[in-house]
Amino acid sequence: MTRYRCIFLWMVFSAVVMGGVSIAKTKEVRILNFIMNEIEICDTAFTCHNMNKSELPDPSETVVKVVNFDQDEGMLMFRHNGKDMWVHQSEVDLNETAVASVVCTSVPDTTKTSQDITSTPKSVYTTYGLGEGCK
Amino acid sequence: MKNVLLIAIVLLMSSCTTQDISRSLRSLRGTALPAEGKFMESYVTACSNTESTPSPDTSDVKERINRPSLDYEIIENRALSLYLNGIKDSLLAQWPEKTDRNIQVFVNSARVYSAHSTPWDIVLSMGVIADADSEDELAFIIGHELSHILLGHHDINDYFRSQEDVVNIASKMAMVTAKMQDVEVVHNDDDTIDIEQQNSESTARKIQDAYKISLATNRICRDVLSSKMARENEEEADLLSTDLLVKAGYSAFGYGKALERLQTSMVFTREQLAQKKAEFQTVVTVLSSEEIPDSGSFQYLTYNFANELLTNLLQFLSIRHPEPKDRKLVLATYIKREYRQERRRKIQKTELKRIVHRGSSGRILNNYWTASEALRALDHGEIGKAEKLARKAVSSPTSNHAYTRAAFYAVRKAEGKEKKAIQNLNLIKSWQNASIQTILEASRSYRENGLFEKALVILQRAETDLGVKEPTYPELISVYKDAGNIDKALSVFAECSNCRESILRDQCKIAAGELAANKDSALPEAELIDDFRNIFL
Repeated sequence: MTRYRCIFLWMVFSAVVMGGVSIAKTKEVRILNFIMNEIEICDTAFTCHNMNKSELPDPSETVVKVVNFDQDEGMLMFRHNGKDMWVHQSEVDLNETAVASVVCTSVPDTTKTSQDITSTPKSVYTTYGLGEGCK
Repeated sequence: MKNVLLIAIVLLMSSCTTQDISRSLRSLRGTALPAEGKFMESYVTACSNTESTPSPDTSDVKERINRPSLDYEIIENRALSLYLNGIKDSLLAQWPEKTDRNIQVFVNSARVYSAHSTPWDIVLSMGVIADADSEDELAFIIGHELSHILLGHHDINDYFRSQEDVVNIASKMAMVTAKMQDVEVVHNDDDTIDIEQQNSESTARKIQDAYKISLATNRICRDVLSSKMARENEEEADLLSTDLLVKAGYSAFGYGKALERLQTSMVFTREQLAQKKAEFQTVVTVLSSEEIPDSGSFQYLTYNFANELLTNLLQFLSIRHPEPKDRKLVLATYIKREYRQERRRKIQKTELKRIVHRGSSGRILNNYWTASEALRALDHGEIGKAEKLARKAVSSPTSNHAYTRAAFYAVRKAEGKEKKAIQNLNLIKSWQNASIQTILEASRSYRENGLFEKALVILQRAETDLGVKEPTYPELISVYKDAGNIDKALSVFAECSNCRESILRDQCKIAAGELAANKDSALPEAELIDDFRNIFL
């Protein structure tokens, strides 16, 4: 009996620990801002209409948790006034964002020696790129 | 300071005219977002109404002069290249006009998340490939750069370059005129004439002012006006990329993670920010026509305040891209209006994972990243760690690649193992993918070890494989000089003296050393003739 009790307690202990770890790993995703004045909101039947931002929860005053995420369509679900509301991720700012592995702080000033000539012409006025770049 | 502002306004109005640029009309509206409808359709309609073709006229296409991204190595990865060019082709197929330009997509060895385009090529950084987690994200980035090419945005560089030439000529004429007015003509008894330069203080000030004004005009044109146009062009590229993306079957929200990653990468150290600011500060200081007051005086406070204000203004105006969050808002508004269903399309990840993270292609990218980590360790002085990483980087299938071998070369040099360093250079098979810095460094290494023929062969590769010769002039002079071939050294020095870049000419002088110093010193009349020659030839 004692042996089975130990096994049982061990199983319960493991479940609690693993469950706790799982919970700890899952970070809470929150909506920080509705970026437009009119937001398209859909219900669970995916009937959608525009709602004024003022009719939605104010993320600066209350925590708006994302409780579900439809990865295929990029739709996020949150709850407001007891209702489930779906919004497209393009219309919100979230606390979780995609990050770049390398940031400008880690780019060395120059690896060129004093003898090297940059091949980039100085008279190129506009650099058409994705962003400003690090230099 | 009042003089500075007055000069700036007059110069902006007289020298930096934008009347010839058709986009100035759109700039009055302040945004590229069309009031209704899709950007591509409104752009094509507008172009057909003004009787100009939407895509660059192929008869004006300048021949591709060199390999792109010469400051970095290019990643050799056939599977990745086919994959990225396949994305480019599917986007290009959505553009209504056919183009004869053979636009290619390359990946360079830069670690930071970035991309850029030339009139012929699109270059993504290794950082983009490492971080992107969907094909839609890559497609947005490729589409953005492709849009710059299709919309002819690179033509703006030619415009401002010609403006700079005009300003430089005007400035030189002012300087020569001042010199001409500052001469004394002496009639000799034998009916000959001597011209004596007086070099008066007033002439020196006039020459200095002419130089300052040209410097200020060109910097303001370059940093402020061109940036304004660049910001509008960036918005157009975002919108057109989205149109191409959707037509090609990707999600309209392809931009989402790209802009987020871009924003997170733009983190600078205090030193980097100070350096950026210092560049603008020198322009403002040069513009100041007064002596800088004593640091303890009240005038110094006002001078400092005005300097700071102008510097910040110049810096702010010169930012060429809208902030990522502003871009996100414009695109979110656009796709909500035009692509409400398409923004819900499923993001595609499978093919990207297969190409980037698995198989031979995945191993190649891993080795390149490891090589970049080796160089990073070297920057931090961790030589032992750098060697381990560099050794791993040259394992199959990248054992003969330019980047991985260049990284191991750098590690061996840091270890003081010159012979082993050179062995790494000897193992490079694909010099066409090397950076210009690697080529110059290789030449220098060969030269310092007396291997002059090898040095010359490597420098020749710069011309044949990379399509550039000018950056090799200083090293060529050094090789010929060290090899005892003085005639050749002087010949290259003479070629270098005609180069546009003053820093290059200075480097050639340093390389030539006493050979340059032995050139005849110019007589006053010869100097004036040279000045005229410099203006018109």
